[in-house]
Amino acid sequence: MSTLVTNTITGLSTAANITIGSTPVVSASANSLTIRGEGSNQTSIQQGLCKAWIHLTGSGTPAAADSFNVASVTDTATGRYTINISTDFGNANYTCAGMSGNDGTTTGDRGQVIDLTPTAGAFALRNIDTDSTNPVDDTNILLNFHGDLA
Amino acid sequence: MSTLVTNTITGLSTAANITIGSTPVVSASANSLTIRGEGSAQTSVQQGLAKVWLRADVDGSTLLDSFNMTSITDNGTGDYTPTFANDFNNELYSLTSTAQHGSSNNDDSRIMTQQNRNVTAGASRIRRTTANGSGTVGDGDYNVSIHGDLA
Repeated sequence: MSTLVTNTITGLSTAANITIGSTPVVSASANSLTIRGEGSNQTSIQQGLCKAWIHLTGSGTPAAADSFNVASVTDTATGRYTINISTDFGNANYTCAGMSGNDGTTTGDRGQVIDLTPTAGAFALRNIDTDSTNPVDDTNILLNFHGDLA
Repeated sequence: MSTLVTNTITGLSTAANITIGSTPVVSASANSLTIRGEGSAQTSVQQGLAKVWLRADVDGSTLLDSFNMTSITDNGTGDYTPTFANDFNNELYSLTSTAQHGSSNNDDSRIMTQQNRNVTAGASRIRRTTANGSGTVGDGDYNVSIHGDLA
């Protein structure tokens, strides 16, 4: 057992770059960190991270009950919202997935639909009652986003 | 203040294993990286990572952008099988998806459904259907993200 006691580790060649073993744990390079997953396969940390998420209160005045990397929510119509991203994606080719409902009073099934062509900084969502296919405001609309940041 | 200046740190017992505090920051062991979350609870980095995500083009089988994907098989109109590069450990992963709305007409809403009989560790067949369950519909773009255990 060997223990190093220190407060700060600084890269010698580049202050922000440190490699442990063969893994660049801290690096100024994009998309540099790859780790072993649950089994033997490797996986990229940057690619796997959720880049934005929101728990949207969609009824009344729509607002984020909690969120990450979301600047604001625009109410475009009943059951239709635009999620404005704080730090934009690199392009419009990211993913969004979600679910929705009310607090014990949801009638009918729900679906989340891409309302308009996404942009790097905004995602237009249509939250629908799948029985009627009408857009509906729900108390809880939960979304997560994955993709490449700018 | 104490500062260590170096380019590379190598584990003493195992070259690729380094622990900082009580956190194995780099380890050859599976599922080894646990960190403190936003509060006091601990969370697994590996378990929290999305293992696959993709955005498909309007034909449903062309990848606009993706992670850990090899291709999408076009099984027919609105019927696709995304195939993963690095497989999951089993078929018990979590797939979520959102489909592109067809038009401004509410009746044109679309959702993606997963076919449980055609889900394996390396691929998952999905269909683009009408939101009210009237059946598989035309091709269109959609998003998928998947969490679960890699092989």
